[in-house]
Amino acid sequence: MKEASSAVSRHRLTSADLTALAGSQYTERLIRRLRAAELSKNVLLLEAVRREAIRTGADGVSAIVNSACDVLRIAQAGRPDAVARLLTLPNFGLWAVESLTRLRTGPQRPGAQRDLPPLELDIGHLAAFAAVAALRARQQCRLKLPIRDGVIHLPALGQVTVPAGHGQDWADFISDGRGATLASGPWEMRLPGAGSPSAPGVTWTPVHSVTAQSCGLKIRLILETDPLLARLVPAPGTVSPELAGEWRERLTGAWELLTRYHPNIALGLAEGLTVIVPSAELERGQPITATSGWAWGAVLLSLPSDELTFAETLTHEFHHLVLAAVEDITTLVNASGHDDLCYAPWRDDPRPRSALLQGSYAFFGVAGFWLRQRDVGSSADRLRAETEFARRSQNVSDALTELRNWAGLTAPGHLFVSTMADRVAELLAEQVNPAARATAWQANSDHRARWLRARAAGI
Amino acid sequence: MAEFAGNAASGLIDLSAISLADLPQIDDETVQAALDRLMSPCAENGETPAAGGRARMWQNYKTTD
Repeated sequence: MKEASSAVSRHRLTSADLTALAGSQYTERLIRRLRAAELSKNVLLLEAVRREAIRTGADGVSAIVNSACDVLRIAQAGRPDAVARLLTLPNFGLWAVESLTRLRTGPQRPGAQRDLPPLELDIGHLAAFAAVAALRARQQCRLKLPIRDGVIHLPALGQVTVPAGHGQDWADFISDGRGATLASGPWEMRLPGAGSPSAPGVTWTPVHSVTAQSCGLKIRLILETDPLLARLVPAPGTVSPELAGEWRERLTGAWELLTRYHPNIALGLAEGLTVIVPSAELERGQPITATSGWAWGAVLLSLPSDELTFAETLTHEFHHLVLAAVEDITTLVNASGHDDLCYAPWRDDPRPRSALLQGSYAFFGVAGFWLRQRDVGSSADRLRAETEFARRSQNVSDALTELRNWAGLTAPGHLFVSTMADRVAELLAEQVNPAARATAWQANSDHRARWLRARAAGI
Repeated sequence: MAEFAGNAASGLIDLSAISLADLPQIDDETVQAALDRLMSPCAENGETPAAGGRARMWQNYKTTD
């Protein structure tokens, strides 16, 4: 008998929760609840994929999904925490929403999906998650894993590169409870990759992770090269042991800063951030930083130039992730409401107000970051912090003026925005070095003037 | 403090502790309503979404300021 809708429990945020989140007052408990909501979202999408595969009648796809789901169900019974961690991974969320979208739009959709791999291979990535679950649960099973662009990717574990010209799309994964054998055509190897595989021409590359600990708080981040996540960055990077060492060194410095001077942010990051998707810079000196609400828990980054930049970037991007999770739980913006374009102080292009809310929250976090940095480092560091603080707090104040009375906000949306606005009013009342304030004012004025000129020219 | 009116009925359904074996027991209407809300078209980014109906990608490298 199917469960009635009314019996399904829901994630909830009280006004006290929203007030705390809007003020960046993160606690371990609050971020854990956001993470649980993201797990729910991913599980919902997984179930939607399963139902859609049945509905579309694509037998091959349905069989792939069912066999992987069977393995996941058994693994969950034995190792519920391990399976929950897997299903909360950002690559799982992205796999689920992309698979659902592809199943719903069908193979004939023109344009954007023309260059994507065959549907079965994309959907089949679910089997790779199931294989990792089976390895962690020491569970016996058989699965077919997709080989995409010569690579079998095992999320959070590593990847197998198969010989060029191999010509096979699938590999057999047979788990015996002590490990697994992976084979396709002429090659075979044993997993997990304890040492190098014996199969000639086949290489096993374990995933790199970086860990930092400071002030009693630890963070562990996977440097994930899953091709699914790599699609989100314009210049996906590979991770050599040397590069992983550079990430580790940079994270160590950033983590010391964050835990010492920004403990709320550090608490949130330790609980919510799990993955960095490394990217190359588009051009030298042009860093990449991005997040996606569908890939919750991941930040897409080129290697930051220094620990201060890294700490600021993590603060900025984590605010995006927090707000994405809040919006998954509680509707802040009416999707049907009028959403015209307006000036965003941090972009050269006009933005819808719903996007302005995201930017406002991210830069609100950044303004708070620089406020706390004002007493840290050399006099030059402090002047920079004062300037960045003055500029970003004014930016957010301007943006919130556009948002405060916007009819597109729901009641929780109004609470979120007004809480930020109240806090920003306090920030603007802070004493700031006059030279820093003047520099910030000039930068903001120049940006707005450039924007107005561009609009007048129809750019 | 109290929840907002309507929040309890419209929030994301909690599947964080569900057994995967029980998922097929949830009725289609509940799944569909949850998906509709999650993937509702929204011009959050003013760009074509990379995935799903809701554009939810924030790419700072696209800023030039």
